[in-house]
Amino acid sequence: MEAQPVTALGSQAAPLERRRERSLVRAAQRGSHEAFAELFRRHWRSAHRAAFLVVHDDAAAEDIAQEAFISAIRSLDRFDRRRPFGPWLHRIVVNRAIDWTRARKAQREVSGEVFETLEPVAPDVDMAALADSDRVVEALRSLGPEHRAVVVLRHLLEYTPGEIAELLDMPRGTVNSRLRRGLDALASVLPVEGRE
Amino acid sequence: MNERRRTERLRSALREVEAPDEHRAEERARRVMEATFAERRAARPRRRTAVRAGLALAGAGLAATLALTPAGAEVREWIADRMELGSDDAEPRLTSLPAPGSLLVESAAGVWVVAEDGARRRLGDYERATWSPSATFVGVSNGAEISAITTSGETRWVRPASAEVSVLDWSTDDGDRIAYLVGGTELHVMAADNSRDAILDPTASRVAPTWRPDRSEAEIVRQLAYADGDGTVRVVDTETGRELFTQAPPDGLHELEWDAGGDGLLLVGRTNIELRSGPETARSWKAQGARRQPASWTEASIAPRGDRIAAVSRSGGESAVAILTQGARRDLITVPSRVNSVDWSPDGEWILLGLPDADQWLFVRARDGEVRAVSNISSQFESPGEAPQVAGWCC
Repeated sequence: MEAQPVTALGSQAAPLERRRERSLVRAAQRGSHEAFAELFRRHWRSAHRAAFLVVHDDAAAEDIAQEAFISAIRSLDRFDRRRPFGPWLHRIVVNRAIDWTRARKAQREVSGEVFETLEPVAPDVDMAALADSDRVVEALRSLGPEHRAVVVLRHLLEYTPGEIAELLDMPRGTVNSRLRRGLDALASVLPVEGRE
Repeated sequence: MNERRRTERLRSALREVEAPDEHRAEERARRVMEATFAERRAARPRRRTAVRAGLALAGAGLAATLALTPAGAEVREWIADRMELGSDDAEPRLTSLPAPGSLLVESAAGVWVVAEDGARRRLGDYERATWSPSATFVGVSNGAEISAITTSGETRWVRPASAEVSVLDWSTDDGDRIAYLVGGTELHVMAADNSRDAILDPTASRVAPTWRPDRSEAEIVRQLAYADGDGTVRVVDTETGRELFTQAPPDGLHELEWDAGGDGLLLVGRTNIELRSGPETARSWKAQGARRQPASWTEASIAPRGDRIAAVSRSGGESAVAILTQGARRDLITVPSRVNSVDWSPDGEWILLGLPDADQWLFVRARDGEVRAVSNISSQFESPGEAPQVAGWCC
């Protein structure tokens, strides 16, 4: 099945789209089921994919995206309509995804009777045989969750480095350095024609 | 140039990435969101109704009379004498528990575990505590941090919170969830392995939430009862956010507890204790003071087998402890002190009462009212000026 596109709502989002989204949020706050369904339609896929690309665990990604939306519904009455909905949702998703990945890493360092089993170790992958999208997924595994998050926010959701710094509450220089390192890691799996 | 082309190729590749099972995941999420959104809309008028009902009850000024049984009166006289005599007739140190199990105690010096032989171990500088179901771990909080520690004090994980954590409750049975309140009202549910955390209600009440015991053999059920910001009691599936039922609370709701089978939910209000079975009220008990004085319920706890409730009512400077059952109410003991905790032993034979005004603990045998008193509780838990509080007597 052909992949469905993801709506980018970083600085690239058109002003008209932002106005449309504000009116959807306003309608949802007043109780419009249709308006919230439209917000879900616009943002679910990006939230789910962003979570998956950070955590690399399909069940956790689904949980994280669902929890972010549920949190959005429960906080809808207090949401400031002047703010765009997408960045607010993506902030929740990406930060929870980072927390989840850190926690899972920490979990490896402890053993407990009640704790869940750990994720299976990924088998060796023949990169040459993969499509670009699969190569990127595999290459992202080699990065830490914070680096994955920065790459996903910049190149999937198309936020600017300044917006990412705000979303993740980190210095812009840190965002730039993580983007640089992320691109370096991905360079080997996405060669381009001509000399490097 | 290559950099730009690589970036374009990366963006193109990222846009093609699909999460596994993406379409069915979207459909599942759509159903959850539709239900959650519908509940949000439906919740508004119910909340206003609940507030009006609560105000009406408060205005009624409900009060009733206490009819002490002869046995209850004798016990009351006995303990009143004991209390007036001071701690001479009480054991000066806690040397053992009268029943199997371990106590979890919160004091100014931290959280403690007391073994059956009376041995005390300070787990660390924590404020709130909850047992894991098998007492293998203890969930603890210290300011704006939650930790899971072993009963020897070894830290397994730490999770920061955005504000002070005031209440913790580790789920029963499978024990893979912990509910907690941040900043007094933000209700969270987290995985007990610290792998994830979610806000269930950003504006819940300060009443401690309580996990429903899971008796389903077919699937794991994770359901939590809590009171929202308006006091309405909600029972929610924490995995989907689906609301199972809501209830208007009794006046002055301050405690929630499930019975052992997860069939009945106990709501402890100022003047009424109600046992709810689903949305129905199965049974209710009014607070009764001696000599027709107004009384209020202060503490209650369901016995481990779920067949009895130990409940404390306060009236005219005295606290009366009664055993409530489906068909009867038996007055057990009256003490001239506040009671700050009531906990059943795991075998359902004894009730532990905390008496902060007397700096004593009373172990009262439920079947006949036999009392064993222990004094100097504050000094034993290094808690001068702050009465230690029992957080659980577990298995």
